[in-house]
Amino acid sequence: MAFDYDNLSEGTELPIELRTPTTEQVESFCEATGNQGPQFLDPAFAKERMGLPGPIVPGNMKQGFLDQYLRRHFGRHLITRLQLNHRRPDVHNAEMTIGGEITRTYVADGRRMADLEIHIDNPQGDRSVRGAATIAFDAQ
Amino acid sequence: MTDDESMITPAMEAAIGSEGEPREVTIDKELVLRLMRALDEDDEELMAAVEAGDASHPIPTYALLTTSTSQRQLTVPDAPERALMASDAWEVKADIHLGDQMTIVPRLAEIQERIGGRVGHSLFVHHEWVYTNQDDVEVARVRRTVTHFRQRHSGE
Repeated sequence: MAFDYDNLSEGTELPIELRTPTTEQVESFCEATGNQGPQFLDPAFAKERMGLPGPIVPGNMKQGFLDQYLRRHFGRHLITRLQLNHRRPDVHNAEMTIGGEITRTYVADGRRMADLEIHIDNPQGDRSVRGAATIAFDAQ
Repeated sequence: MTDDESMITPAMEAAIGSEGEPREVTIDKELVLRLMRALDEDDEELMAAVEAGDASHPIPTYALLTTSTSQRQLTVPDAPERALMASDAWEVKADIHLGDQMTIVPRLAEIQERIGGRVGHSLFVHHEWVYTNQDDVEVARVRRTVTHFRQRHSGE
């Protein structure tokens, strides 16, 4: 169910969502976006050349997941800002916990707006992505 | 080069602020569908609209990811080959639709360096792309920071 502006206030938490991007999904994503970076697809390159624990989930794939997450909760209201800091790599086939919280509601240029903190945590409970977003609700 | 020497070379400094050639790209239905499937999109109304090629239906911002190959990242002279995305920001100003003809202009916005952290002494390169549609409306501004580093990642 989508949130309405009137139901939001600072501290309102969005439901937690779990996503587990599989290797097959990462391959499909890389094919659709033309992003064939070996750190996403080649275990030997990821481990030996980059020092990563294994092939990783592309940062912009996680951006896609967060875009979906926000649309699920805010319907078709425009996401005017989506900003992510990639703090740790996420590997394939590992569960991601996605969450968010309202940090501010306000009116700007006659439009009702909400700012959020959003994040992705890895299975160890470490924050792999810390981000922020702004939703513009319909004009008043 | 010792670790306390700056990684920012004169060639890098000269490249800051430079713009690349504009690229023209169309938001393609088939690529958007493939991307939606890769992301397990479960918005049935949206899927139906995209499958039908409905150019009046707004589509998610992530559809811009289908233009990644045209969203060319400007080459940073002398930057270490090892690189990972550090941050990404979309500022969205207008709806996006199937069939939109986008002009993408890349810019090398800024370069900073950092000592310490998971990848040691590193460069933070800030890229920016401005997306303008066929009606000359600025639709989105995408900013990406890429970390370039010499030593292997700590894995954490």
